[in-house]
Amino acid sequence: MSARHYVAFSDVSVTFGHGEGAVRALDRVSLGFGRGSFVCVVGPSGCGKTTLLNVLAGFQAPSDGRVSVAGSEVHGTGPDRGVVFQQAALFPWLTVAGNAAFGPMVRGVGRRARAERAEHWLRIVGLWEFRDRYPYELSGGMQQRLALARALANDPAILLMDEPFGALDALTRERMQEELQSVWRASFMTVLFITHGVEEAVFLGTDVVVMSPRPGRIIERLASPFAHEAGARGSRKVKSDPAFVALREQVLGLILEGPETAGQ
Amino acid sequence: MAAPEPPHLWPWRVGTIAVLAVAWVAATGSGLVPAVFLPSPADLWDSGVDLVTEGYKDRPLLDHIGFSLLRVFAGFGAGALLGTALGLLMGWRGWIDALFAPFIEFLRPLPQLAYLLLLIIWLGIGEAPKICLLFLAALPVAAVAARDGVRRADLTRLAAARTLGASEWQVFRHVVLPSALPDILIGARLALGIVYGTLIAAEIIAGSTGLGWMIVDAGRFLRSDRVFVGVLIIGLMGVALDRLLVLAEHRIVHWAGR
Repeated sequence: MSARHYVAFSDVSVTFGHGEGAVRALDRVSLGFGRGSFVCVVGPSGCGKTTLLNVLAGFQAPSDGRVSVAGSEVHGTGPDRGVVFQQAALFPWLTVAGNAAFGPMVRGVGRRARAERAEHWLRIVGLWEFRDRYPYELSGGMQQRLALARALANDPAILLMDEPFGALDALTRERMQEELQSVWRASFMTVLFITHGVEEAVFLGTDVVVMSPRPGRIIERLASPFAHEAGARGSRKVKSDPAFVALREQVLGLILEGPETAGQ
Repeated sequence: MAAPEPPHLWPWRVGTIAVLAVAWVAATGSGLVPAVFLPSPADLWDSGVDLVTEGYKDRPLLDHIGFSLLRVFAGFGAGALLGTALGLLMGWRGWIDALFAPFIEFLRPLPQLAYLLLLIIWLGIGEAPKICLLFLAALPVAAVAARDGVRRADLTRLAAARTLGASEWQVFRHVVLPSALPDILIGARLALGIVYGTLIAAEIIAGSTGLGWMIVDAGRFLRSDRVFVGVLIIGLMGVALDRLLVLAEHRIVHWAGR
């Protein structure tokens, strides 16, 4: 698997604690996907989906198995893998522009070049006119857009998102989904997107991975065609398409009832 | 950071001062309270003018103020700076904390007067024991504040900085340090208050300069008018210094608590 796939989890297990109280967050998970995929991972809380992201991000070393990107094993964090968290986790002492330029700044990109890169992404996420403001002056949706711009300004090959729109209201979330999708379509980025929203996963992903808890396992992986269609058709049309509704219900069934009974 | 006080509360503040002033005038004017206990406003004014024009015991008043401020700034400056640096390291690395925490924890609640005599024995009676006393008063307060500030740094922010490519030193410089800044400034404010309070004790140690010494000396001769003027000056300067730090706090860490 690791030879063929751009991102490959091979028999990855993660155990927290020891002995009686040990929790198996991931149990022999194998998952591979190609460059440019948009992989959405869904599942109930406690199914290990965040652990899956943490292992790829380099926050968490696997207890067993290995994770590789483009053939080389992941050890620790790296700027090739940008992360957007549920909490925007912006730097409140920096301006909007300062936040967007943080990655290039710590990586030694020159002042002018990083300002240009920050401007490019701030314009795309619609925050350019707020460049001199501070994060606490922005709304929740704008803060999350800035977190996205901050991650993208580093030009990551892989973008990892951990329920990034979970704290937003429904309307803002929908707008953010569309923006994210158009950014992804215009790039060669590979995205791993963690969510508990089934509709979100089916709408955004080229692949939908369903996980189940205790121990955290992948129970199904489905291809979703809608990520490529949404741009041309508009998200409301896509989400009311019978094929979309059917796939959504199938995923929901897998989460609620497990692989044995779903679809019967 | 508390919300600014609404302007309609100002009459209340001014009111309490006015009531106190009226009671003062009444008590001293009627002769009910002897001047040695409580000098009248007029006496106090004369004494104040005399201190300003003639100075106290061969020295202009400004010299005394200057000496006191110099000691405060030297002791506080060195103590807060070193304490903050130490606290940052203690918060960042557990073994540094383990190394210094016992001393810091012991020193912090220790009343300064308890080790004042030791300092005199070790350092004599010049400026050294005074400044050292203030230094030791400021150091542990600043250190503990900085350490706690580092420990309170948001873990997701640290993780975000690392995924953006920051090295450990860059994480410290660009995330940990600014995260701790609000706590560092609160620590500085606390330390300044303690140093300022300790100043009087420091200036009781032999010598003939400083506001603290002036008050103690005037008290010895029952010159309560001079004691009052000294107390007023010390109090107003204390308020001014504290306001200055609050102003700096609002300016430097405008994001804090938001």
